[in-house]
Amino acid sequence: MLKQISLRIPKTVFDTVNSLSKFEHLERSMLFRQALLKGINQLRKETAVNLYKEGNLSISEAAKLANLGVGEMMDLLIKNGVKSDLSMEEVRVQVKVAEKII
Amino acid sequence: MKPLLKSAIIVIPKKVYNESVERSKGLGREDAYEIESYVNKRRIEIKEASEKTTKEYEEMFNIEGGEKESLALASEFKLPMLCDDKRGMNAAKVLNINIISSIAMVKALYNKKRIDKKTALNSLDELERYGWYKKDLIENMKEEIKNVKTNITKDTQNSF
Repeated sequence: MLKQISLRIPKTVFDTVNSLSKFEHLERSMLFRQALLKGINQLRKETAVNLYKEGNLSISEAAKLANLGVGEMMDLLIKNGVKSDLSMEEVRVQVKVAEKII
Repeated sequence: MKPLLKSAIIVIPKKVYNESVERSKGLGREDAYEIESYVNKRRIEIKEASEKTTKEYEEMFNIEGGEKESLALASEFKLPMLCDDKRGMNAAKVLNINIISSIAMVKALYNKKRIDKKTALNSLDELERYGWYKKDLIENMKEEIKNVKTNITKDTQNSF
C-alpha cells in the first residue's frame, strides 16, 4: 500500500531526478520512490552498524533493523571496521570452559 | 563445526535456527545448508526456552532476537553459550552463563586433540580472513599452538 507525503527537497535533487527520468524513460515519481527506498535501506544499515558499535543493539537486533540475516550483519559490521573486543584473558577462560564439554 | 559435533551436541533456539538457516538459505549461504544437515542428523537440536524466561531476560537486559533466546536456553538447560556478540556476552556474565567464542573453541578442540595442529592453524587463518577478531588475538593463539610443537621437540630432544 502506498502512502502519500509532501516534502521539500533541494532544487539540485529535483533537477537531477528530472534529467534521470529523461535518460531512464521513467516517471519522476517512480524515480523518487526508487531513490528513497535505496536511501532508506542504506540508512537502516548505517544506523544498525552505529547502534551496534555503541553497544545499544546485539547482532541479531542490528540484523533485524538492517533487514539482513545475522551472517550478513556480521559481514557488514566487519566491512565497517567493527571487531570483537574479546581479550586474550577472556579467551583463555573460554578455552577452559570449552575443554570441559568436548 | 564437524570436530565439535563429534563430541558434543549443539542446542540452538528456534529463533537462531530461523536467523541462521531459513533466511540464509534463501541467500545461498553454504553454512546454512551445513547447519541444516546437522539438524537432520540430530547433531544439532532445536529447542525453545520457556516464554517466562525469555520475557524475563528481555526486560532485564533489553535484549531481543537470537541472543535473548540463546541466553534463556543456556540458562534453563545449564549449558555454556557459543556466542561472539558483545551484548550477549555481557548479559551472560550477569547470569553466570559460561561463554565460548569461535576462537576459544578452536583452541580447546586442539588442546583436547580433537583437531590436529594443521587444522587448528587453518581454522585460525580462516577466522583471521573473516576479520571479526583482532589480528593480535589470532596471532597470539597461533603462536601458542605453534609453540606446542617446539616444546615437544625440545622435550623429546632433551630426553635423548
